[in-house]
Amino acid sequence: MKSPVPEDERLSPQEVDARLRAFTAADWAKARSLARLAAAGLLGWSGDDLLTEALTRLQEGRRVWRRDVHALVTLKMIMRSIADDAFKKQKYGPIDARVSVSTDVVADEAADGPVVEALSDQSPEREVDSRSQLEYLEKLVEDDEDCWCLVQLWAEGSRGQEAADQLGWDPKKHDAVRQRLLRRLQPLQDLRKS
Amino acid sequence: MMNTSAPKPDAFDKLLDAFVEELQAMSDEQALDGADPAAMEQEGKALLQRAQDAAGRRRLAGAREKLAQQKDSSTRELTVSAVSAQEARRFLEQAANDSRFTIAARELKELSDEEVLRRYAKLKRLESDQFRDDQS
Repeated sequence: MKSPVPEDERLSPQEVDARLRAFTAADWAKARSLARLAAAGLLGWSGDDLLTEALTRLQEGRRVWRRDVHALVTLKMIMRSIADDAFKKQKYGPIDARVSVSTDVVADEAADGPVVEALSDQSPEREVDSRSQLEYLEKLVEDDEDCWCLVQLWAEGSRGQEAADQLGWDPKKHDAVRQRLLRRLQPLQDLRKS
Repeated sequence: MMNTSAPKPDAFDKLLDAFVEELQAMSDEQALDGADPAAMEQEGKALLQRAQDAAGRRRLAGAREKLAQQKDSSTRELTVSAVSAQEARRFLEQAANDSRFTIAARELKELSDEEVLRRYAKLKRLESDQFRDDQS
């Protein structure tokens, strides 16, 4: 169990609301791209579902936003935690997730069941979930070698310029591949909803 | 023992972290990637509104549940505190004939008033819980 964040280090509900309302079009575009990636391979969840649930938990005060943490980092942490819970539900819930019944799970339903908070995030189950999300993403970009390589390097912990250097790419090429990856993520939600 | 250390990032965590950094470094133009800024902002605000509505509904549901629990608890306390030992004894005598509860009538005569009231309160609680289960 994590230690609670001290009161003075977390944004108040009013501050959370104000920051979210101040999001620009580009902020929303970034948050939605991140949500699409975080929802990769998650049955019944689109990126927007995941983002809405994260925003809901922030508004409820069920999740905190640390004062010194960037909005995208905060959303990433919350969405990762929701995705973990959703994976657990898919595995241990009464419905067999492998059977195609309906993938239109609304975000509200996520809060209906018991929320399991793992004592340690290093469980074998989580590693399997993480691997399956990565495999899903690899499959999505397997016909684009550059995108595939970038995904591999990011998953190994390389970032930004370091990743580009390792692949021998100049900034222009790095930007181009990253944009292609962004576009590849775009159809994720449409594919799942079809 | 509780685990207070930060979780070790796995491969997908690392990938998400790298992606967050990329997003932070991106220009607005790159992030929008040709999308209409006005439409994107409108869609974002719609997501936020949905989240606000859901948060409101959950808060309301939580408050209602809390109130129901509080009422239930107050009712129980009121019921228990309002009865005399004699009334409680009569109730237990009747309960001895009820197949849902296991209490021997002969035992009652040997019990002190305090014990009778204690058992009465316990039985009321069980009765109330059973009623709630039947309702759900």
